[in-house]
Amino acid sequence: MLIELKDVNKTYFGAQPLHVLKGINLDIDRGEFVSIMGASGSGKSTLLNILGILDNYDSGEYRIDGKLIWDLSEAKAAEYRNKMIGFIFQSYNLIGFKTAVENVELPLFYQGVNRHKRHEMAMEYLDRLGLKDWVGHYPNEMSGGQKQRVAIARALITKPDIILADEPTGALDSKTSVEIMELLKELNERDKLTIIVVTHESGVANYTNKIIHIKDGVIGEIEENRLHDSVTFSSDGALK
Amino acid sequence: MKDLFTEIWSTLRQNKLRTTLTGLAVSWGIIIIIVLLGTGNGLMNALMNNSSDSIQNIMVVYPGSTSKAYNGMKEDTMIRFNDRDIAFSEQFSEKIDRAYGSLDFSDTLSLGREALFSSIMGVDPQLKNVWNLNLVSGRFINRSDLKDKSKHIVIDDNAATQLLGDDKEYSKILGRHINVGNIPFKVVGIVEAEEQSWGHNSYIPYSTARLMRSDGAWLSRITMEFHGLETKEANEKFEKSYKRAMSTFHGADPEDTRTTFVSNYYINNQQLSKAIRIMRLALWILGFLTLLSGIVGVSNIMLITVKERIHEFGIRKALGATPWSILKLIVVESIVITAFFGYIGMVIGMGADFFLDKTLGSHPMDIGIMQMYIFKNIGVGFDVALEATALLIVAGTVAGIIPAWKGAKVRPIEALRADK
Repeated sequence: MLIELKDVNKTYFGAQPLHVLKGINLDIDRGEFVSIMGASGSGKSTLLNILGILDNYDSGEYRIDGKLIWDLSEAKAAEYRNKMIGFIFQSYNLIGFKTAVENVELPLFYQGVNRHKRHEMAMEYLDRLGLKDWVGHYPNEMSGGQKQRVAIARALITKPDIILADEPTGALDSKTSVEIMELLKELNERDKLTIIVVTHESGVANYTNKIIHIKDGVIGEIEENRLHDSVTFSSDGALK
Repeated sequence: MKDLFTEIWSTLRQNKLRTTLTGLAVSWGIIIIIVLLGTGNGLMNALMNNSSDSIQNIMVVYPGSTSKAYNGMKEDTMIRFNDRDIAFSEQFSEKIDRAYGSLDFSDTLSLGREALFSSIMGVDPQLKNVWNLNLVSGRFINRSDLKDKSKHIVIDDNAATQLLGDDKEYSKILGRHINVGNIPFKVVGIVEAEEQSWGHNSYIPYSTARLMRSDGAWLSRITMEFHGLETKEANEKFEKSYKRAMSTFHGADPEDTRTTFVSNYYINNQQLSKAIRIMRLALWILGFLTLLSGIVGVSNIMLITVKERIHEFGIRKALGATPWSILKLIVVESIVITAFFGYIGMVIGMGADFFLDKTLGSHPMDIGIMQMYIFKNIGVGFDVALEATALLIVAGTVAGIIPAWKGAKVRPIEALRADK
């Protein structure tokens, strides 16, 4: 198993302690294309943060490829994120004063890859995502779909074990959303990438091969969705 | 390293106005430091009158008078020095390398119809260095003058100008004969008139003066060059035993300390340099406090910058930036701002020093009874420039460290959640 979660708990201690994850048990294998679906407040974002080593959990066990993710130093966590996880965010999270190619280079910069090598690789990835003519543009000169493609290139460039996509189509129109989901699907099928999509949209979830429902901090139904017919109203591919 | 600077350059370019305003505070601090230190140096140079190249291992002994009756000698008997005292002093200790007297008197100098009154000092050639006389033309009294008892004289530039009358080119007096009283002397050199002196001073060989005053005139002072007295205590002990010996030599009470007075240049210099060190330190502190406001400014701006960029740091952390790399990014940015603008300030400050030196430093000030230099050689040396550079780098680090720490320790999820 690539990802193993055993009885993972997380509570936010505020004025009113909030038990967000109540014993999550989940296994995801290498090469899977899954979605985690739930309403807001269901704990799916917290789960994503824990999966992405952006946040820690209170009890239980989380392993990536057998490695226990527990009590890591900031530096170690940064290294794991850099090497094992590629992030795709709803709001793209590109750095505004960097060009597309510079944004894509960034994870390699933190790996200490030399300038020429990482520039070459970033160009190659942007080319693969059809952004060859946009490499020198700044994020505010690009459309939402283009920005998300840059973000995907940035997530792919370190060849991570896991791609974590947090509402990847949340800020996109339906046509572009379809394109992005098709792209993720293709990456999973062709490059055998493990992709986890967190979403509250059933249309988005329908693109994935397995849908994990989360509600009130516990895993509910896990649907096999090989036929992509779980959501009837989106079987034609329309997402919204 | 180049990557780091590319990163910093791109962020600084984003905020030109903010960067410039912050930088100006630092530049200003450095300008103040450099001008303060430069004028401070000028003030001290004027005080010391460039005594750095003068001879320092010198004691000058002046005659006094007895303060108590002793062995038939009455109180208030004047002590008088003559050549025997020179010989006695020279043999007093192996620490005395040389001793020589000065024989002073006053007389008229005249050339044609022009005449003036001057102190005439019969001196050893070495006194030029002891008194730090500034030769502007010709030469000073030398050894062969002393040996030959030659009638050579060195006068000051004011006297030269006066004696020449209408002719303002004082160096034209070189080689001409002027009368000291009624004895003709050849002018061999001209020294700059001493700033703090009212009258004129002229210098002739000691041996010649001795010849002219063969009536047994007394010495004004005995100058001793010594070695091997390093500490203040050693000097005091030496002076004490010397005074004892002189008292005994003159038949006074050995315990009488008022028979001779010793002025120790070595100790005076040490005290002066101590005073100067304290003054320098005070100036540094003043300058540093001024710079401090610049540092606080940079620190403040860096804090705002970090707050504004917190979302970006969140992205970087998600992509694998370690806290250390974020810390480095901010601290180096802070150092770059302070170093760059500090350097500009340093150049401007040195320019200001140069300007002050050309104005304040090169004209004597008229303070009523006389003219004197308040400043001399305003400016800072290469060493100060280096120290200031080091200070800038430290300042930049200090200014950046707190904001950097804030930026480095923020947790990625909080940073990502922050407003852009």
